Amino acid sequence: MGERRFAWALALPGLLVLAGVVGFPLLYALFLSFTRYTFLSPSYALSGPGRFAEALGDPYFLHALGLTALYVALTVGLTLVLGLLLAVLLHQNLPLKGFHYVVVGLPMLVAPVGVGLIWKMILHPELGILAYLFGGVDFFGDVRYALLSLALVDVWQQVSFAALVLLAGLRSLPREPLEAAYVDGATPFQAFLRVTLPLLRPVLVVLLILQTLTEVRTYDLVYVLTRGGPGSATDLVSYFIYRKAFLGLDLSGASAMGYLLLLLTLLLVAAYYRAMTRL
Amino acid sequence: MKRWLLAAAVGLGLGLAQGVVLRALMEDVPETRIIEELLPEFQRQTGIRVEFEKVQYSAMHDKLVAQFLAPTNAYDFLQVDFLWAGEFPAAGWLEPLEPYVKASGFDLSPYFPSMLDLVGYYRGTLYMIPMYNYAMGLIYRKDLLGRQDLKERFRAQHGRALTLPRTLEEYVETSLFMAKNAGVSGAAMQGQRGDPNFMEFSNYLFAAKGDYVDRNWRVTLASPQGEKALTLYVRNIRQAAPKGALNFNLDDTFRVMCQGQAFSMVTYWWMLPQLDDPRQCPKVAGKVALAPMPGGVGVNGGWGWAIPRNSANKEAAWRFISWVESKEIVLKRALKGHAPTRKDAFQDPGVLRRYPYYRQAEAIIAQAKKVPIFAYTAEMEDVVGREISLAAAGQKGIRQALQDAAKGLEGLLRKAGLLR
Amino acid sequence: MVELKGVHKRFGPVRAVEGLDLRLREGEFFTLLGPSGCGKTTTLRLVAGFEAPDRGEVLIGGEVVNPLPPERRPIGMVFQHYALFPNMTVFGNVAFPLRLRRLPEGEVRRRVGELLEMVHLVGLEGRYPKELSGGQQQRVALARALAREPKVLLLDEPLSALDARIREELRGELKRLQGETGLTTLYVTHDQEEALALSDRIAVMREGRLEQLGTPKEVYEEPATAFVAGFVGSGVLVPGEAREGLFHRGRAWPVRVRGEGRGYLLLRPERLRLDQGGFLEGRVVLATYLGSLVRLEVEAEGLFLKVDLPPEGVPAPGERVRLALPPEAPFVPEGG
Repeated sequence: MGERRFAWALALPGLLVLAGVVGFPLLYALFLSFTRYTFLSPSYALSGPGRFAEALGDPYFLHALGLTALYVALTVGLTLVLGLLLAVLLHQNLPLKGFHYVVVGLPMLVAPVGVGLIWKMILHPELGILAYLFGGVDFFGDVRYALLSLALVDVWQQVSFAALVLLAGLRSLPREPLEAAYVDGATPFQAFLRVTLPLLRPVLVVLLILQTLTEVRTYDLVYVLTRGGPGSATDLVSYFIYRKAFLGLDLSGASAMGYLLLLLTLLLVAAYYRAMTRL
Repeated sequence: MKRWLLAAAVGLGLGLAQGVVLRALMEDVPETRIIEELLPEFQRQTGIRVEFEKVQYSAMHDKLVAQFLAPTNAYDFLQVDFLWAGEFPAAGWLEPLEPYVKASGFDLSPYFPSMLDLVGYYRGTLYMIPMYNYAMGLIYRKDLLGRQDLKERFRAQHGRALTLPRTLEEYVETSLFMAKNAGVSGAAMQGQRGDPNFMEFSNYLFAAKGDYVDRNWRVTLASPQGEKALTLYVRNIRQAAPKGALNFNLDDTFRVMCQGQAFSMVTYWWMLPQLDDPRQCPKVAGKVALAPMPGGVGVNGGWGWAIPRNSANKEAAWRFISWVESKEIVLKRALKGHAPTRKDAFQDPGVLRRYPYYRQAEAIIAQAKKVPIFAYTAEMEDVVGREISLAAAGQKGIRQALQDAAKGLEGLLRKAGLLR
Repeated sequence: MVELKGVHKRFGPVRAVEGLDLRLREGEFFTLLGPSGCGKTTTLRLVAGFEAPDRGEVLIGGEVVNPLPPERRPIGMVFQHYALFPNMTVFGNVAFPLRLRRLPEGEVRRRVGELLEMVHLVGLEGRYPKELSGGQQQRVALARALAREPKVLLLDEPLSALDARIREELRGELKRLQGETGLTTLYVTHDQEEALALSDRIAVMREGRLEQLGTPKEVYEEPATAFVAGFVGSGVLVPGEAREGLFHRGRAWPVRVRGEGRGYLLLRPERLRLDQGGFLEGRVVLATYLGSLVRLEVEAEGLFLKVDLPPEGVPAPGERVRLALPPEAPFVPEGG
């Protein structure tokens, strides 16, 4: 008992800091979402669930939510598939291994804003090299391609992290089950599908959760590359909420939207988690 | 011993009064460094030291708001972009300046009325002194207008001479002609949604004699003039603008124009010296000229000086503002390239000798009109910009987009308490 | 059945296998025995196809399999750490090789049933590996290795991760199964007791080379080298000379040996006895109680000899004793 109390005493300062740094803003935002607080009229008069109803009645917010769902599915899916592919390639005994590692790891080290600026030039419809190669595709100016282009730039950066995490996962897998599969007559592809992938599942699920959270919060790339346009083709929800807060100066409305987003994200993560624990 | 201590204390007190330090948040641009170079002069005259904290434009608004909400502002004076010139006074964050003007006998008459309207008065009260101007006009390629083959072909096609366009219709017609015949884009347009496309479209709207609101803040955007402006805007961006224009901002349009790949751009008048600089833009230097927006009226823009209500050194701050805006210092600034807001600077022979295009600039500023400035100007840019972008992308009809933009604007005006 | 001809394998600077020649007979239980790093596991992996020899040939059933990947060799294999697929049930694991061969599902069911019966795991089909004990997991691994009806069964230290008692139990099981199926089996272990108990023949390896090849009895009783003598069983090597059929160390010892010249006499603890009229006189240095017996360490003529005795009436350390030598003992010539 005494030991337990001692443990609490040791943990307390950290917990207090955590409560202050994480807990307080979360609770404050929750409280705000039930008021009509704006920067211009900073009053804490309660408004009930009105802000949530307003958010759910805003067709542009709903559009942003739907668009974000599509975007998350696209980016996370591509990131995992390409990351896995790269990880498997790096796992082979290729020559110049160290060099490949550095190249694959590099995008991770660039700030998203930097990534945005680099790709803005590469994909520039008049001056960019890729637009030239693709016969002048208007990557960000055409509503048909803008979201996909944004997603690809995002994936370019995220794949780096995914590949390294998956490579670490592959490295730490026991060798024997894979060899057993070969002895049992499996081709390398069959062995990968039926043995490696299932063994890698915990790593994949953790990566899935991390990537989903990252992509739901995509903001910087939109800011640098498209500002949500053309039209509202790339108006992702995090960027939408940011504008609600800092252009609309409506902190309470933004908080309500933020909480709706948090709720949806939690549901998604819970679903992933259930899928992982059900072996 | 006692006497010695007293003397020291008195000395220290005097030293403090002498050593007032004013701090201000400034945008990190060459213009700020021009003023910075003149600061020692101010210190010699008054003993007041001034320190600038220089940051990127995008960081300024949030930093300022945080300081307005603090008990004492870290900044004793500041520069206010016209986009915030409604928000800051509406929130009660700025000190009214009339008492200072009266007490010091500061003369407001040299300022362009359009500038005082933009970054001076808010709903009848003076909160700012105009500091810097960035009204918008047309920059175009003289060489293309003068090319013989183009002249002949234009006359054959349109039955009139190829000249500087005088109306919005003529401008878009010329732009389309150049796109088809001159091997360049007709107009380097900044179609990115938000501030870029809102500002650009506003020129079209004013040139078509339309406006966003009337005197009583009633929304007039969805008018025949508005429809004409948006129709011509969409036609120009879809048929005569460079590929990717729907996502271009100012930098992108500048690059296209600088590369000699466009006939014209609607932009800030001080872009002219940049484009006319043979080191920066060797392909077009000497071939570009400035004119008012076809139709005569373009969008006004600018910065103003202001003193926050929670400033700790208001008197000293005003001494700085009245010094930096005195005729002598304004001329010095203008000669170093700082865009002035006083008529006397535009008419000064020395300045004109140095910058001949200030004649056109003066005409632009005198006619320039402001977009609605109120608490939610930034959100208005977002809402209207979205609808313009939807129309330009072909996702919404002209009329529908205008109606939705008008509805959004109306909501914001209502939220701001300007409409009931 | 399995044959290695002049096989070499290096890993960087390390010579794992050097010029190995082996030939397994049909239906034989063949063991590679040696300390870790001797090349026995590498040899097994060369047969399995996980490693390719730098030089030499590997043959299975008379066919050179050098270019074939593991999945195309007629082998089954059991690994040290079970190597079951954690995401599949017992049934799924055993059925895995069968399903890869696209057998009809009814056939798969029948075969898996047979195999599980063979390893006494009927009723556990639906369990996942993590719900099984170590011994049970290894039985599943065995069933899976047999499912493909291989020509050769490869076992890589399959018992070393198990508790002592289960190890012994499974050892018997393994022997029985091998007898029943008559499968040619290549077994790798560092445990000499296991090797002696299971094998038809043992190849003792050292630093990538074959040290001795023979039946368990030959290896134990006629070690070819000092290394084999020391590695297999326990005992003390006494340096001396073989002359005219007797061992000499200064004088002639009453121990018959084969061979001539300098070398070592191998005295195993179970072959020495205490006897009032024994040949050697010594002093007890240490007595270690081992349950079924007591092992004495006796200093005699500058040698430290080991003697195993029944636990009753054992002399205490410090007591003087006389040791009787066996009438005949292994002799390992020097340089072997």
